[in-house]
Amino acid sequence: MTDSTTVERPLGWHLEGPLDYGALVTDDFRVHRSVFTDPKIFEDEMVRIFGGTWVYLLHESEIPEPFDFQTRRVGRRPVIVTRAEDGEIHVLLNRCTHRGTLLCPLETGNQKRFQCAYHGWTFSNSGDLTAITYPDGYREDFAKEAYNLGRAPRVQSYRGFVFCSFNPDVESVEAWMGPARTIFDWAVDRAGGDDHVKMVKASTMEYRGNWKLQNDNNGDMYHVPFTHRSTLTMTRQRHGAGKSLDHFKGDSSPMTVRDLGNGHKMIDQRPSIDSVWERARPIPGRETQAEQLIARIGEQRARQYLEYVGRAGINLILYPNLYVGGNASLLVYEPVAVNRTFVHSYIALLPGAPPEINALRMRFEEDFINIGNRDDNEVFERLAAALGDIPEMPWIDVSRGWRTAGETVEADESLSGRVTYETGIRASYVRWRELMTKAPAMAVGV
Amino acid sequence: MQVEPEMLLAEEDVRYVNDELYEDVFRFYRESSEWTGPGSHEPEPEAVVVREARLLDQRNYESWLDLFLPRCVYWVPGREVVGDPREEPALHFDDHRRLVDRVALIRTGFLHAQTPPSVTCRMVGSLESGRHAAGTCDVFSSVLIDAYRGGAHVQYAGRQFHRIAETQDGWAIQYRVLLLNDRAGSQGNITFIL
Ligand code: FES
Ligand SMILES: [Fe+2]
Repeated sequence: MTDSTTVERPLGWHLEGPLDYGALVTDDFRVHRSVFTDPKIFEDEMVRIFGGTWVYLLHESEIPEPFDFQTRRVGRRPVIVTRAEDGEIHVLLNRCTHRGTLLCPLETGNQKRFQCAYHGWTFSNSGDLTAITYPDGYREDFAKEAYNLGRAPRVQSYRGFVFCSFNPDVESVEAWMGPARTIFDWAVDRAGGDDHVKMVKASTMEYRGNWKLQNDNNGDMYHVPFTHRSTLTMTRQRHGAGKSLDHFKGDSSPMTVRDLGNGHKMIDQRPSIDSVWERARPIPGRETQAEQLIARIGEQRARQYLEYVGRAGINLILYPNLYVGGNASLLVYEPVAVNRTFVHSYIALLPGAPPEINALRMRFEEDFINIGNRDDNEVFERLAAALGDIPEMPWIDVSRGWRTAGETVEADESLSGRVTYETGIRASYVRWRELMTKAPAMAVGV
Repeated sequence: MQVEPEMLLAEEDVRYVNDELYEDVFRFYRESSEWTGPGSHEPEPEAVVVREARLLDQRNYESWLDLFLPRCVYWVPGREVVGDPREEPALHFDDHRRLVDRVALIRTGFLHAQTPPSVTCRMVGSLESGRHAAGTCDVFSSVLIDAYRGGAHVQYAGRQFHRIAETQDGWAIQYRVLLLNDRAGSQGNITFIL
């Protein structure tokens, strides 16, 4: 345990020497404010966390054809994720090897080659430097092969979800997921399996605050009745009890929050969600589309499909950047700066499902983002507005539930807590401390 | 002003968002975005668009709701190239029920994201009236919204298409499509009704 008075240093202390990251998360689960507010720490996170472990990039259905590509960020590193002619996926650093220009400014497309806008060097979509303009200007022994695009040394697709790492020694995605894998598999199976998902971008939320706030919050049910009081009140007034987050009844509910190891966490709401569809807030087309579907395929089958519309009851957060909702919806956290974050949301079209179901899924995906997440983002911005400005109060507390009877070890060795506990959030800070206190063996392949 | 729950629970027409409506709204969007004019000026329908902006700036959301037909759509697409709303999510695609939800959300008094509220000023310009079908008039305009809250200004800008329909009580909004410039990117935390 660290005494708070011994750790706080004067402002700017990090400039004087290497940071003791181990001291910024205490053994009694307080976290130092600089973890959310210090630009230098943010820079190190981009190396040690977003470079040191697996980072989610995209779903394979977003680049289905040869030469398709999407651009993304791995931490702050710009990358182009391409599908080569032979179907292989490459994660290329989006940076010309001549003088460092961003090579591809587009979000997505289909291209065999990428030509730099500055002096015209051309690269294949698997990263090889294929042509240098006016090549006579280079010395005879100039090694062109050394100027292929940089690439993530590790790329792995797990059930269509593509991850990469800049740490060549990182374990397999399966090992990294650990007990979270069963939950992840449940979510993919529930959406109909690997080939039945066509992931589409929904929208990008943005808030002025640190990326970890959204990561923490997706594993936090404690805030629901307070932060979402407007959503809960309005939904009850307008549509009666039992909709949206109304199944949350504090710690008397059978839901749990879990520490799944390696910083992964989840909220398991399934014990409190009897019918996903019945608990969904009414969305445009609810009555008409459901009736049309029932008329066409019968009540029983229609009911099964309608369970794909709504909250299916898990928040699974794979540390550091992926949230998986139970109904094939995702959030991807993109750190922009220490105090600025993008949260990209995705929803799967289910090509095997009736069109009514997909239309309803699109309307449902918009719903909470507009109604509920506005208050989450507001809270993140309020946190950022106070935490960074009071040097005399350096610590926040994430110890709720720790050393209480409500926290127990499960058969798969994960830790399970009552649903308002900060058990999952602690998992992430233990992992943060672990990753930040060792410099990974970083590498860029060429 | 608090909205009475009874008023909010009054009979609503929620049974109109079907394939026919989706196709009609999508067609309205496509024809409006491809429209080449020439435009004319139709004072009464255009006044509805200007009035809408003023009522939103006044945060008089109840009167704003009164501008809409019971079978209305307010759609804010989220893609650069806008596709069929049945196959892609929007920033929002609202029917009348979800519009009332938004107003009721603010009126609970618990919407942190509007505590304190944004002070907004909308500038509606480049107004033109275009195609007329029976009893309707399509109005095209540009809008710039400046919003001040918590010591900071944010701005949203875009094109908007309104289909204004003539009713016994005057002109009302049937469809509104708002095409934000940054619709494919991020818009910050949009805390008020655009
Ligand atoms: S920087 Fe790309 S070709 Fe010169
Ligand atoms: Fe929340």
